This record gives sequence, C-alpha cells and structure tokens, in this order.
Amino acid sequence: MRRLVSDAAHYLVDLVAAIRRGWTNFFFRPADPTPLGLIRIAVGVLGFWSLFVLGLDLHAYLGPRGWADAERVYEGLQPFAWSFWFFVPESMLRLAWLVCLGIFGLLTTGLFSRTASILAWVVIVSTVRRVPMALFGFDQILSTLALYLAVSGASGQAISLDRFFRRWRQSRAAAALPPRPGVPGRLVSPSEPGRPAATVSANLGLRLIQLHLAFIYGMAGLAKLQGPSWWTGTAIWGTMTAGEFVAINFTSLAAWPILLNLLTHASLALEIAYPVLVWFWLTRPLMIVGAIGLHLGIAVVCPGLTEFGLAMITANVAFMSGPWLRSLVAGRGDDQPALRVLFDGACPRCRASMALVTAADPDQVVEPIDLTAVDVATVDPRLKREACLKAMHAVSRSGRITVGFDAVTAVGRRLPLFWIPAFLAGLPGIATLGRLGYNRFAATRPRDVPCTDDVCGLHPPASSPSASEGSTAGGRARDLTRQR
Amino acid sequence: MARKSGSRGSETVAPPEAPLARRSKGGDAADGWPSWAKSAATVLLCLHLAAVVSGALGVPPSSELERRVADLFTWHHGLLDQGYAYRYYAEPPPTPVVLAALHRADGLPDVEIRIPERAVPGPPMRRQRQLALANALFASARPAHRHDDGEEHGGGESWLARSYASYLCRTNPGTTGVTLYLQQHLIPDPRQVLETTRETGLRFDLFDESLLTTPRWIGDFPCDGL
Repeated sequence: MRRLVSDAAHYLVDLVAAIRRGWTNFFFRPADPTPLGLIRIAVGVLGFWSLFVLGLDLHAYLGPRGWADAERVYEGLQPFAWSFWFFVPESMLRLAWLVCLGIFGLLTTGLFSRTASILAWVVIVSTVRRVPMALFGFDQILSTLALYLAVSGASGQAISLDRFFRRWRQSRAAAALPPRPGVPGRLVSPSEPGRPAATVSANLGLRLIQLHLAFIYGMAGLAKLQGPSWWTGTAIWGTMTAGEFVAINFTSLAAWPILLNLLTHASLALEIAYPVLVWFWLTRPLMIVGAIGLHLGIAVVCPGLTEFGLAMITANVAFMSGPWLRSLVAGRGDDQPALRVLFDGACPRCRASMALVTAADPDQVVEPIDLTAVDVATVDPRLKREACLKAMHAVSRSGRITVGFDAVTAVGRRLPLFWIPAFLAGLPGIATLGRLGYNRFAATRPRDVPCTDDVCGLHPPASSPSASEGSTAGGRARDLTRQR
Repeated sequence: MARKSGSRGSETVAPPEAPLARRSKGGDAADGWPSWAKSAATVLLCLHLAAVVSGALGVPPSSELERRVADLFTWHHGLLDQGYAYRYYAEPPPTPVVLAALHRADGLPDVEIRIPERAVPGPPMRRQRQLALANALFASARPAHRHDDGEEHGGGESWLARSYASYLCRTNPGTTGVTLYLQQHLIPDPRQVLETTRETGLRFDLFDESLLTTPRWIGDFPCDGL
C-alpha cells in the first residue's frame, strides 16, 4: 500500500515537472519573428480592405443613424464591450474612417509597429462592436490575429519598415566612417545581423495563433459532426448550390454524388485531424496544404468568403518556419550571394546607395564589393577596373553582368522592398530615361580626395557607437576580400 | 552569409516543439525572460486560454457546467472580443433574404429593396456584409402577429428591423412607410436538379421561384413613427 502511494506521488511529481518543462519550452523559447511579420502584413492589408469596403456604405454601417441605430447597439453591448465608433459624430465619420485606414497602412508597412498593432486591434474590435449585424467569420479571425499581434508586440521585429530604417541608420553611419587601417574597402552594412533575432515575444505571438487556430478547426469540425449532411456526404452540395453565396453554378455536380461525398468527407476529416496532426512536423505540411486548399476552394465557390479564407491562410503562416519563408524570397543559403555588386568605395553617394541596399537586404542576397579595394578580375575575369569606375557593375550567380542603371534595377529586383520601383524602372521609356539619368549621375559624382600626406591620414573618432560596431561586425565588403 | 538549411522536411516547416526556435544549451530554454515575467505571462495565458475555450463551449447546445464556466469570462469576452463558437456551417442552412416594400407618398407603386441585392456593385465582400445583415434581421425578427387593429403583437418587436426601416425612410425621400418581409432561399435537392435538367435540357437556375419561400411579413413601419 505504501509503495502504491509513493509511486503515485512520484508519478504526480514527475507529471507536474514535465508539464512545467513542456509549458516553458512551448511558450518561452525564442522564435524567428518572420512568420509574425508576414501575418502582420496580411492582417494590415485585410483590415484595410475590410474597412475600405465598409466605407463604401460608411454611414449605413458606422453612422449614428445607420442600418443599426447606434444607441440601440450600444445598449445591447455585452458587459465590458466597447467601441469608439459610438462617439464619432456623423460629420467626423469620414475623417475617422480615413485615420483608421492610415493605421492599417502603418501596420501593413511595419511603421511604428507596436503602436500600430495596438491601434489596429482597437479599430477592429470597435468596428466589430459597432456593426454586430454585419459580421461573419472573417471578422472573428481578423480580431483574433490582431489581438495576438498587439499583445506580443513582436510583429515589427521582421519584414517591417521599423527594422529597415533602423538598419539603414546603421549602414549609413558605417558608410560615413573613414577607411579603417587594416580593413580593405569601405563598410556599408548595418551593425545588426541580417536575419532578425529569435525572441520570446515572437514565440508567444506565434504560439497563441497556433493554439487558437487549431482550436478553431477543432470546434468547426466537431460542430459539423452534429449536422446530418456531413454524415450523408451532401454538405458540400449545400454550400456549392446556395444561390445567394455562389458565383458559379455548380448544379451539374448533382450527377457526381460520389465526388460530392468525397469533398464533404475530406473537408470534415481535415478539420478534425488538423488540431492533432498539425503539431507533428511530418504531417504538418499536409495539414497546411489541405487547409489552404480548403479555403481557396471556398473562395472559388463563394467569392464573398475570399477574405475569410485569406485570414485563415494567414493564421496558418504561424505554423511555417521562418527560415523557409525567407528562403522563398531570398533563395536558399547555398545560392547566395545571388548578386555581387561592385561599387566605388571612394564615392560618398555610391556608399550611401549601397548602405540603402544592405539595409533592405537582411538575407544578404546582394554582396557589395568595394572595387577600390579589390582586383575586379577576381570577381569576374571579364570585368575591367576602368569600366567599373565609370558605372556600377553587378554580376549574377549565373555569370550575367549588368551595368549602370540596369545593374541598379537588377539589385532592386532581388530585394522585396524595391520590387515595385524595379518593375517600374524596367518599363520602356522609364528605362531609357533611367539610363540617361544614371550615366549623368555617374559621370559627375564626387569622389573622396585621395590621401597624399600624413595629415589627412589621421582619422577622426567613430561618430557613433553603432557605427563603430558596424566596422567590426557588419562589413560585408571586408568579409569578401578576406575570403579572396 | 548563407543561411543554414536542413536536409529534411523540417527545413520547410517548423518542428512542433520548437518552430523556428533557437535551442538553448540547457534544453530547458527560457532565454531572455526573468522568472517573474514568465510567471505573470503564465497566469495571463491560462486565463486567456480558459476564456477562449469556455466561450466556444458555452454556446448552445451546451451543458449547464459549460455555460457557468463561460459566464465567468464574460468580462474577457466583452473586453477582448473573444468567446466565439467557431461552429461554421455545422449544417448548411437556407439563406435568409429581407424584402422591403417602400410605400410612396406620391401614390406611385411601392419600391422594393432586397437584402442582399442580387448584384451589389463593388467587391464581393460588400454583398457578404449584406448577407450578414439579412441573417441578423432574420435572427432578430421572431414571428410577429398582425391583429385586426393593424398593430403588431407578440414577440415580433425587432429593434434591428425597426432601425433598418428607419434608415430606409431617411435615405429614400418621399417614403411614408416600410413593410419588411423575410424570405428563405432554399438549397435545391440534387434529384430535383437532375430531373429539371433532364426535362428542360438547361442548367438549373439557382434563383428558380421554387427555391424561394413565400415572404413572411415581419412588420409595418410608418416613417413618421420612427
């Protein structure tokens, strides 16, 4: 009997210790904030779009005397519920709407991310409370995602303008530093590492989204088990032929009952299996692909639910690996650098330009090389120093060389932040003008005066601590020359 | 410079225990946060997760226990806009449609407004909001009874219907009153679809009259009384 009690006690102690350990490892381990950054962008875009669509009937939805009388909605609020829309006078409605759109703009771009994520959540919840008669699943998912972005405070740690501007300040400071003795070439890189550091706050945000998403699928699946049509395999027919929802007439599927059964059972199986199988790395891709397929399918059948599907797909991003997501854009690690760019390290404008590039290139897809510090033939035997001094040269991994304005656009195409300008720059007419402008700029650019005596060889102290750090940790030009 | 990539599937999708994470040497990783912060966060996490789960379970059909637990977190659901049931499409239902007849002061025929409109200009989401509105009106309007005296009696008083009618009065000058009806747009039976298709040789019309129930009156709303 005593042994029974002591074994049970030991078991309980072990159980509590294991739960505690598991809890800590689950919630308080640092994680890559990249997925959270992507979720922030998607929530910002979806929130903007949703509010924009509401704005098409602004006074009907959000006006004090709209479809749902504001006073009656206010009286019917559940305890502790709130919304600022009840206090916006009709005359200020459009202005408030514009400000809210601006907040979603900040959230999307990642500018003042922490503040913007809190404000965006306030806007979303306020809107939900003001128009309870016009909500559907999309609003619930968006509200949940916005809540976790706001409480984690980590959504701006990756893929944000906040981070870009911080890195740009660092890289500009590094580029402004004079040459350092013993360091060939000029530094143009930020001091902080390229890829964002893993943080506990990012992990918390991702974990909460993961848990909530698994719970949503589980609840949706279990609830469907109450519906006879999910057992008889005809539920999908019901959704595909609901005249008010669908855009395409799928009634010809009536002749394919087995297919309808299969689609119904597969949808249900996915929702029931998801909360379990998504936690195992081997089955996780299947669950995510299945969920994406399900939501895209719903969007095709019911276009009005497209935003709902996108919100659910966005939530699924929380289960994806940060490095893998980054590699989708930047390419695999062993493919880097995808582009090597020879710039004139003696030209302040060129250094500043490269500082901009390195700030926008956390994955180091572009490798800046100070041509004043290297033999350009070691980069590519076809390169000539005189030609490189006339215009920027970029050498791709496949060996393609682009020069001048075309090299600039080649760099822009590699960096997501510059995709749109690079696309525009490639348009006929703009490209011609760009080449003319670039050539003029390159021909008239100022260059540092060569140091020919001992006086100018005396270097002033570093202008800032971050710049000083940059000179010791972040210089990619230096790294390259060392490799060679 | 290069990112390190694994050789297995874990490269593309994070493993469950440590997605995207940097493992600390001790294995029991908790870098960065002091114990008190972790304890405080743990309390908040437990509260939040309990509120989310109870909110979803406390919606009917549910047990007395589930409802009582959910009631403990009413403050949380109100404050944070949580507590949803997430029971999407448990059984694909007929779609509610609201019909409004606007009576004109100038004696012209009534103007009919349908929510959702058959074709709403703009993005599909705009129509989806109208579908939600029709659904809310349907849910809020319990059957009312119009007595001989013309007054509404019974449980039909829907503030949302009254509010919607009031909005229609304001935005449609010359309207003396609004009568609201509810209709259901049914899902066709596959056998009916096959038979009709076989008989007519045409594709089945999802807006066929047979799929729309007889409009049910839910209220007359004179504009001067709103």
